[in-house]
Amino acid sequence: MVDINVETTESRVTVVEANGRIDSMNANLFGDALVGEIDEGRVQIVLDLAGVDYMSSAGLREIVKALKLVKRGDGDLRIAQPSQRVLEVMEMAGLDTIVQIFSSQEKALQSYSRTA
Amino acid sequence: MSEEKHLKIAGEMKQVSEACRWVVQVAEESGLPMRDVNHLELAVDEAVTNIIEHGYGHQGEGKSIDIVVAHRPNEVRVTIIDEGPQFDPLRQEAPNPLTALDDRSDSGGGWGVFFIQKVMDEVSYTYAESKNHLVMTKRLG
Repeated sequence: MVDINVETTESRVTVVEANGRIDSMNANLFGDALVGEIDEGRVQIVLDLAGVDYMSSAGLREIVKALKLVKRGDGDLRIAQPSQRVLEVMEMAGLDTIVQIFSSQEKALQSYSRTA
Repeated sequence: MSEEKHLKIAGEMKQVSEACRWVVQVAEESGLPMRDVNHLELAVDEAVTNIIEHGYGHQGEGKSIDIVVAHRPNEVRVTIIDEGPQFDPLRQEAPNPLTALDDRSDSGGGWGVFFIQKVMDEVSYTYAESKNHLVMTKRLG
């Protein structure tokens, strides 16, 4: 099961909070939620993974797809507070070399105001 | 002393979570450290998902996947057996974690097998009695 909550801040950064497991069964729902936001023009995204306790390669694939889309729209997708377990998987795939990862949602949001 | 446990699941995507739940339970009952339990879950998830997606082409109704966990004092060995076409997943080209974003494949590109090889200490493949056998070993201690 994966739950997705979306909130757009005053600084026009969209926070997507995911909760639960992201695996081959539901990664497409997770990906569709991200693409839905991007299709609406929300291309500055903080993906908060604090509530995600498990992610397989299927979930990473959706993050890579979304990252490509936001970059094409001159935006970015930045990840906040992944668990140690999820971070390990992201590092194995080298995601930490192509996406900025922050230890808190606040720091991820602040990073956009610095670059605005 | 070696203890073996066995699970048979249908070759359908909705069964992957059942396989994960089962391997976590077996590993926890065996007293494995949490990090090893997590790695076994990821390896089983990726292996079973690959079989259902590629070996069975999402048409695994009527086909099954067998998972055998053998716990020995110094290792845990997980064998995954499927009846798809003969395919050695270890022979495909490994993805590169340093690949730039634009050069990454949208379709996945072998990360599942790559993860299995990263989190397990030894992975081997054999084809026997018309079935694929993927053997994944985690050394303990």
